[in-house]
Amino acid sequence: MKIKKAGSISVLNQDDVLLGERREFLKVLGFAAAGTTTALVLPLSLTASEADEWKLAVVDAELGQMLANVARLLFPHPELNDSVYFQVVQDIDADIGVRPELESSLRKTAITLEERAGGNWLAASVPDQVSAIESIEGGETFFYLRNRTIESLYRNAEVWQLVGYEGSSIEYGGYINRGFDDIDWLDS
Amino acid sequence: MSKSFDQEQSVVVVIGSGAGGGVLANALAQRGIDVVCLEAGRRLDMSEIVNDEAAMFGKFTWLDPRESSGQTIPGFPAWNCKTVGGTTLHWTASCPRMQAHEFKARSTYGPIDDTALEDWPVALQEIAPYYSAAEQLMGVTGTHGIERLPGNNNYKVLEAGARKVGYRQIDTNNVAINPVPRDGRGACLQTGFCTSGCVVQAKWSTLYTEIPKAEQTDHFELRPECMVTRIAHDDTGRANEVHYIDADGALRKQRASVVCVAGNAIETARLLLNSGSDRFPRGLANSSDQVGRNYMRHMIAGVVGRMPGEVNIHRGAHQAGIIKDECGYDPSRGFVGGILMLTVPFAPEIFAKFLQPNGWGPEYADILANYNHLAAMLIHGEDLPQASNRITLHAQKVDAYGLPIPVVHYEEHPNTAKLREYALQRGRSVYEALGATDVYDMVNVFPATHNMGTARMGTDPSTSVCNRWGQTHDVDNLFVSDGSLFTSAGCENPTLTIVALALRQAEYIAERVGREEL
Repeated sequence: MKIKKAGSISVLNQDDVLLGERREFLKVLGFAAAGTTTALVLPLSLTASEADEWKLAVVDAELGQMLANVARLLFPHPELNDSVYFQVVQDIDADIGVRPELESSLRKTAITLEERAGGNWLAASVPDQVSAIESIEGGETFFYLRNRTIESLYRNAEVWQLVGYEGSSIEYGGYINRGFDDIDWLDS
Repeated sequence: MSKSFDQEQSVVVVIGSGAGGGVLANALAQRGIDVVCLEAGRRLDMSEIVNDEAAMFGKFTWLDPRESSGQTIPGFPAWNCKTVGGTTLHWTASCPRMQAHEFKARSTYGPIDDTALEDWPVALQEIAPYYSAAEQLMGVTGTHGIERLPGNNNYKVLEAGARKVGYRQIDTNNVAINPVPRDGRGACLQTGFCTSGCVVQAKWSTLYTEIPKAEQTDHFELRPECMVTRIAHDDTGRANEVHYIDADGALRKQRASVVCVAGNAIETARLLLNSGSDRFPRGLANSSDQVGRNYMRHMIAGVVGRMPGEVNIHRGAHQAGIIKDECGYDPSRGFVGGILMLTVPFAPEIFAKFLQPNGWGPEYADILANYNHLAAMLIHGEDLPQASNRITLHAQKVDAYGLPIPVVHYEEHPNTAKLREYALQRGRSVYEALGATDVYDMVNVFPATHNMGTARMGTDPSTSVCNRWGQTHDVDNLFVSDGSLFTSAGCENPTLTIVALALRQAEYIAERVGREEL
């Protein structure tokens, strides 16, 4: 993924960006319900019984592992443990409950990714995984996965703490006495 | 405490309870004129307003279906609100006045191809007293002896960078946010959630100012969750009835002596277009075919700097920071129209989605991991009226009320493209001057929040919908009372001007009602 800097980035002129669906765009803007935030510490090698314990309704252990791994590849933060990325999978599972048709598109995408990464997703190298994801960029399922990962990750208190976003402030009296103007490097 | 009116009683009906409708309704009620205010949205209790952007988006946003084409966000061309208080729940409270030359855009800029540019039928001089009254009403900082807000970190970065590139007109803006308690409302605590509704009510919103004040008179009734479907007229062509669907889904009809439409530019145009009749086949007050045309929304773009030290952009009032050096008329820049640069914060989720609409991977995540080092500004530039940028009705699709949904079409004029490129370059330079390690643009990712021009004022009934009072040329007792009136867009946030026009219009309506002319 190349980072474009300071060029005009227009979502509107790119044919491959599937923003046409109003439903999707409302989700982008934050209308989608937040997922569950149950804190879980799970190993990446999720077993079937653990997946059951985790109360996933639709997503099985194999698909769950893969989706968690894709979420980490999309927005990799080395400091975050796997449980944060597994919460993305929980939210995907909940989404399927509301939009059952999502399951088949995710399963198809999983097969595509696995094939393009050389046959076994978890055994594939990171560069192979990344190029497999690049190959689905612009598609509807990629758009869903990116958006879902963003909404799960960047609404997660653990991630907020990592990046330095402090969330609701009114219970602490806002920032009027807590550093709204505490910048200290400007005069240097 | 609130009065209740019979549907058979002929009253002034104000449609919408935001900056235009809420202010107008209260100003009339205070003068002893009976007003029923019909608001499509729900009345939020203050306990429902929380520091949570995603939750508030769901609570107050206008989410009824819309379609759009051209350079718009598909299906979500504009972000306005459906709630008591309208978009004053979501606004940033930024209150710059429009400048004298902006009221004379056609005379100042000269002829420009593919525009419908006109001068306003009123000059700044005539509006100025109402600007002053609006500032007093809303408690705008930097006016009437009200101190300015202190600058937050994002402002300090903006100011320092701006000075380094030679700008001089930099301050914490004129904002309708209390620096100290005023008018029964609290002082700003710099919570950082201006656009999600202000928990402490430091930010002016009609939800907890004009509406309850009107309710204390014996002349006002608010009817929330009432979606107006049609404005009807009598045999002489005067508006006489407003049809709406109430919270229970029942169709109601309110007799009206005067009707004032303040539904935000898209809904206002849509309602007029949906109110056609044999007498007004193209829509009510649309003999000019100008209803819905000349839709303007400003050029809006974000510039984000990854700064060498922490900024903590999320702390503090959103748009309490402005650079005005580029707001004037200077054709040597290669375009007409002014530019304002204002502070703006975003939560991590919004940066993640829009910093690059398709961004992902380690480099992208690294930017987000350095969230606390990001500074950002929002640039507003004047866009020009074009007859082809317009609101129309969908030929087949209807919403849950059975009304044809609006279709919003907007194409950028070449002047706007030039303005944007210049503005982005200047905006970037502000952060680069302070050693930003990277600077990013956010272009064409935001839905419009400044919606203007769809029932514009003018002197010529063949090229405008309303006269200088916001009264429609075609229907004597029908008024437009929101940003739809704007003849041109200026570069300033429109709300202060909407409020000033509403106060002026209230005076005009009250005088005419007093003389029994309405």
